[in-house]
Amino acid sequence: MVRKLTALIEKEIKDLLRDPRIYIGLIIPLLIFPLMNSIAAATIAPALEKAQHLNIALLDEDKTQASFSVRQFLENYGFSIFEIKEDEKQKVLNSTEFNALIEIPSGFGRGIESFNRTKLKVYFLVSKLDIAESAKLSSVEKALSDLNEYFSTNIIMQLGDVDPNFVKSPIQLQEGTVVKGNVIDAPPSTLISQIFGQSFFIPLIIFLLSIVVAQIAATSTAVENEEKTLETLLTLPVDRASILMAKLLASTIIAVIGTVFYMIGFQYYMMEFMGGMFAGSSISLGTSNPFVYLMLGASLLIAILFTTSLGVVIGALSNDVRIANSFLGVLIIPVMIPAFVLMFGGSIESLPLALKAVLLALPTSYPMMLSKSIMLGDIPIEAIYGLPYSIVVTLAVIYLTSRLLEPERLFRLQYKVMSWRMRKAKKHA
Amino acid sequence: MVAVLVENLCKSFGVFEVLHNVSFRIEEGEIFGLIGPNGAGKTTTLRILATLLLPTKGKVEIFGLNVIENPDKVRRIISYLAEDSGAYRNLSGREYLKFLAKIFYDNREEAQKAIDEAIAMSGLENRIDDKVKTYSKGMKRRLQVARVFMIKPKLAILDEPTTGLDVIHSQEIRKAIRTYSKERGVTVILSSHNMFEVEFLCDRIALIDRGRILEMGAPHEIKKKYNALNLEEAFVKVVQGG
Repeated sequence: MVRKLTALIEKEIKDLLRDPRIYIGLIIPLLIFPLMNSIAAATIAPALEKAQHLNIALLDEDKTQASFSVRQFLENYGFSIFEIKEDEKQKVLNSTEFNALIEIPSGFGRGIESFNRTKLKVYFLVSKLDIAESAKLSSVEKALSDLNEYFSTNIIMQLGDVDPNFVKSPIQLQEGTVVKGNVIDAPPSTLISQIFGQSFFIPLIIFLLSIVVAQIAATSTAVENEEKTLETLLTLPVDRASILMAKLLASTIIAVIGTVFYMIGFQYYMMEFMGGMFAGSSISLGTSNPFVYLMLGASLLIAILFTTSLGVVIGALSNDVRIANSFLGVLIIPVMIPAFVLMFGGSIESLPLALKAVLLALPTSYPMMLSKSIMLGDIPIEAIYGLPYSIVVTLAVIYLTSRLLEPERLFRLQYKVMSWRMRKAKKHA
Repeated sequence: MVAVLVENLCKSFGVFEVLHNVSFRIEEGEIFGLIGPNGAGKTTTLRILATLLLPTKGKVEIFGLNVIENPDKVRRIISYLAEDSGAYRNLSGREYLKFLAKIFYDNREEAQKAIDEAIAMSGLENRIDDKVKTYSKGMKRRLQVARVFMIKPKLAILDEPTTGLDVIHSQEIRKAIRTYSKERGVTVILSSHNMFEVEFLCDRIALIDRGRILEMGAPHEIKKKYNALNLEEAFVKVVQGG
């Protein structure tokens, strides 16, 4: 029994891993994300470099030490400053050679010296609407913000022997956030960003895993039909449960590998390109309750077996991979609903009754629901009742799938599916 | 000993009756051919023997085992070759044979011996480690026939074993089936359109049309009975009722 099952699993894994449709799908995320990253870097890096060499037109109507300081500050920033006269202003505004026009009005220096707020007029000259242009404008904005900071510090220093940092921010906040009794040394904004990252990533992994596993199982079984190997397989002295179990296990192993590759690629992309928005935060939000992890692991395994069984059903009823893929589109919906609701922050309680019922009826919802418990440490009551329910539903699906692999039944259903498709094709023709 | 016993076999798909009261018996070691046009019921009969389909009515026994009551035991003593059946494209010929040997043999040495014999029978020694997807149609069929006999079945069920093959490859396959059956005493039931093939291979044949067996006997007896030069002529006369 074990020997036969091992032989079946070995055959499944070898056949799957060597199939270009499978291994290309596994390798692509490892290549595509760094490639996307390189493309983004190739586009943005020159833009940022260009942003350092900007032409700024300066209309100085003040001619004081303060206005001179503005000029010097901007020059030190690396900008090329071109002083213009009032009658040249319109020409500059229509020109594409300049990136900004800064107008220092008369009285600017006097205002600063007498501690009155004073104005500095800036025209951002937009010639193109692209990333490079946006980077240039941001660069000017940053320089002007720093200029403001520079004047503020100087003024405070003139007031006496005080620390400008103290005047600007006399209270130093030490922020901590308490979640369900756990004290975390971080402000809530950091916490929310981390929660968003985790509540997005974990359902994303579960979503991907469910889809990939169903697709692999459907493809592998449909290929058996296409190549007529299923017919031979069903005449071998192995029980139908072993045939099904081999397909479920092999598909799961390949799907886990695929998901790990995808997440490595995605994580790399996010860290490199998004500057580690979701990753690398120093705070740890995982609960220490091992029961939550146990529940999550169990619900994930059940969800995977559920979608893989559905994949096998789809593959078994399809004469070829093309038909299997078109049926898969329908299967993706039950996996997508909980994924999208929970990925984008929705909670079960806030849903309309019908959608809530759909969500609770699907074993794929529970790992997503429980993924939130990792952060907060509590297990929703729906998940506690939902886990045994999922086990029953999944076992029923597995049982029905193994019954489907009884050849007589399978051939009859295949015939029905084929007749239905032919009728549909005739209707359209 | 009776290898195959089929009595009053009927098979219907919905209202469509594919087999009607089909009866025949095959003795151990015999090569028996089911001959008939497309849609005659040959493949359905072979699929019932291979435990892929259930009879609607009638009795089917293989070496005394009823196919409905003991499908698992039947599967241990049969080997089935479906028409146009392929092997796993991404496995090598050797890996494919090894996979099947693991299913049928508990003893590793016996399995290895069977694999070596199957490789020799297939004539694919130089290509056996290449992936099946690189094989020609003839090579794939030779591999399939080799795997059928590799497991030393008591009954080999072959649906159109030489279909789509050229003359030379067809002849090789026929010779292999004949030699293996006679040397090892394996009972064979096969279906074919090819009257020459049937005459060369089969000890006895049954002519089947629209789900009914019209005539049965040794090829030379049927030819004699219908005063025909060859089986094709005899078949036409049988079908036309002459």
